[in-house]
Amino acid sequence: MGPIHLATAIYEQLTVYNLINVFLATQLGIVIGMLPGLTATMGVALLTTLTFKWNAGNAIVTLVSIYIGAIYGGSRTGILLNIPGTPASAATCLDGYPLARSGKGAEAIGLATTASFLGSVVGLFALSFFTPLLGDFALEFKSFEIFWLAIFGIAICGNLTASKDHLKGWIAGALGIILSFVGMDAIQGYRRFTFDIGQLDAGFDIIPVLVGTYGFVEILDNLSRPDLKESIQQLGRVLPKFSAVMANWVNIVRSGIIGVVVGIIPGVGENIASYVAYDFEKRSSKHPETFGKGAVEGLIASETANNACIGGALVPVLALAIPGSPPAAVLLAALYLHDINPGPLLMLQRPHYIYEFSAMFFWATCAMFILGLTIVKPLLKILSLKNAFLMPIVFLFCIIGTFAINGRFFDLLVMVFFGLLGYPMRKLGYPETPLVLGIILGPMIDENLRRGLLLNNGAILPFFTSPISLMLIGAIFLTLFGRKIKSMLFKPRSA
Amino acid sequence: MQDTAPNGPQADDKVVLAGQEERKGARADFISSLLLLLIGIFTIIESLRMPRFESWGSYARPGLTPIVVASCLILASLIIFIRSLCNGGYRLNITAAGAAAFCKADMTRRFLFTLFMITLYLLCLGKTHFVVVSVGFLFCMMIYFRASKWWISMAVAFVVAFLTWYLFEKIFLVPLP
Repeated sequence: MGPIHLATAIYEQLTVYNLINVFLATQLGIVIGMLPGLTATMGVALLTTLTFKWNAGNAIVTLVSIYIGAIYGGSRTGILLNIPGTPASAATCLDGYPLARSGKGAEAIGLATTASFLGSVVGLFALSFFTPLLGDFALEFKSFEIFWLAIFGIAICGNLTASKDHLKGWIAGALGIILSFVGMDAIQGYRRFTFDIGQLDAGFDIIPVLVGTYGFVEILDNLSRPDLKESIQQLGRVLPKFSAVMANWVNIVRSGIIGVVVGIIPGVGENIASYVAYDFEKRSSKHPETFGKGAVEGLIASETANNACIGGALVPVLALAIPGSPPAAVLLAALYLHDINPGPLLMLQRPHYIYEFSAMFFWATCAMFILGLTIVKPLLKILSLKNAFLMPIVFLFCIIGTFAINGRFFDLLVMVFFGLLGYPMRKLGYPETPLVLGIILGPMIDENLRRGLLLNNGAILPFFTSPISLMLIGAIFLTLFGRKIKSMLFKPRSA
Repeated sequence: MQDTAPNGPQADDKVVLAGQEERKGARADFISSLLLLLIGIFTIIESLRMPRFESWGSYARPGLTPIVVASCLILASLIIFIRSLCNGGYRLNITAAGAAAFCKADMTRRFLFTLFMITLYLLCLGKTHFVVVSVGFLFCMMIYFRASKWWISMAVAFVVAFLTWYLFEKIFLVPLP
């Protein structure tokens, strides 16, 4: 009966008013996602207040559209400027930007849009038909499993972003985790590494960190290089060839499933999903050496996973009232504001609401796909602008994005600090991405390690006994030492 | 050998350049690993000074995870440090002529100007109206980096700063510095 309920809900929402609402909100989401510093979380939060007095149906469809648009929109600046609009798009930069630099910006955006659309469709299926089932799976992840998953995310990210020297990637990740300890700790409330600076009590907000390490570093790098080629002629078509998409169908399905699975784990979100999917694709590729240099497969894996993750992150929101990612948390609050009470009782109180919600998700996904493919050519003009024009303007947006979150001048200083840290790191071959991911996942690692120990009276063995933990430990071991083991096992024999 | 013989001098140049790059990389690794070692050691010392909250059990102390992560950082940095030593990274070869050439380089001047303008912009933000400071910042940057004619730069700076302010402060109601 599920598909019939879903089809009915999709049909019922097919009204002119609803479509206008969805398209406008999705476009706004894309713009928010594109601007460095403005995130999906902020977009959903802003619109929650603006739509407070609307009826529940219109308000929620607007918020879902913003969410999907913003996660997708982050890929635009990632591809065009190497500055991810949102943390979820950091993995997209790895291949998207090299594609744009080689004159294939239109193709990259077209593929990213198609991959995002297909990823959202996978997420939609999970949301519509597996919500109660997957909700239970999310509960299997306790302190130990989340701890190992966060470690796995950083290990993979270090591997992927420092292909010449993985060690430097892991060092950047460890540095990020250490920096995430600045501020009040979550268990005892003790102020760590704050040096009596009151504004450090809350730690580093992720937005200034993100804008500093990507935006500010990119600005410094571009403006200080006099020899940088300033204009790139963009060739190719936006709409990807059907054959190109079909050639990646295994990649799309696998990345979609990874996105959903990572998305439903509370608190982990889109940031890890895209890296895990990217790593899986790189390992299974016949040409792993092309990854990071403009591999279409890498771009597709990353974009499919981060959009599939949205559907995944909404599963525990509806089934358990536990958000899977920060924007999903804001959306959960918005649902409560509109008298919709997600959780185990939702299926009893409003049995068809999951299908209504999935239908909203469907329309927002369609709007993203159409808008994503239609307004590409004007956007590509960005690449033909001189850096002397573009970079100061980008800096202006970096300032606004950083300041707008909390209205604190201190955040601007944090942005500059991370820019000045990220610039030498880039020059010395230490990638910025694991640093950012370390700062995002550091509190998760700290909290879950200590909470796990507290719950087991200091016993360390439970960290190694659950099947999910064992799987994750195996994956971490392979990530850290897989290449070494492979080279030892398959050492070419000298004649 | 026969294949490479006609390109002998070019191949030699490439080998020399690769060698120089490797030495430069080893020097950079030597300095960065030393800094990272210091960060790791500092983190451990600070973490050991944190209270233990014995009533919670010593395993819940706030310094536990920083100690574990900093130890990993030290271990990884040591590997880079030893590797750089083996590659001769400790020979820093800092000379007065080299330092002077670095200071005079176009790249250094551009970098320092960008940094100076950003610092000036941040200092002025909040003290003068956002549009005025932003127009000044954008115009100076565009002129220094020779974006276009001065009046085009001025027009772009004004339009961008004003539209940004209007869009965020008046329409989205987002506070600006």
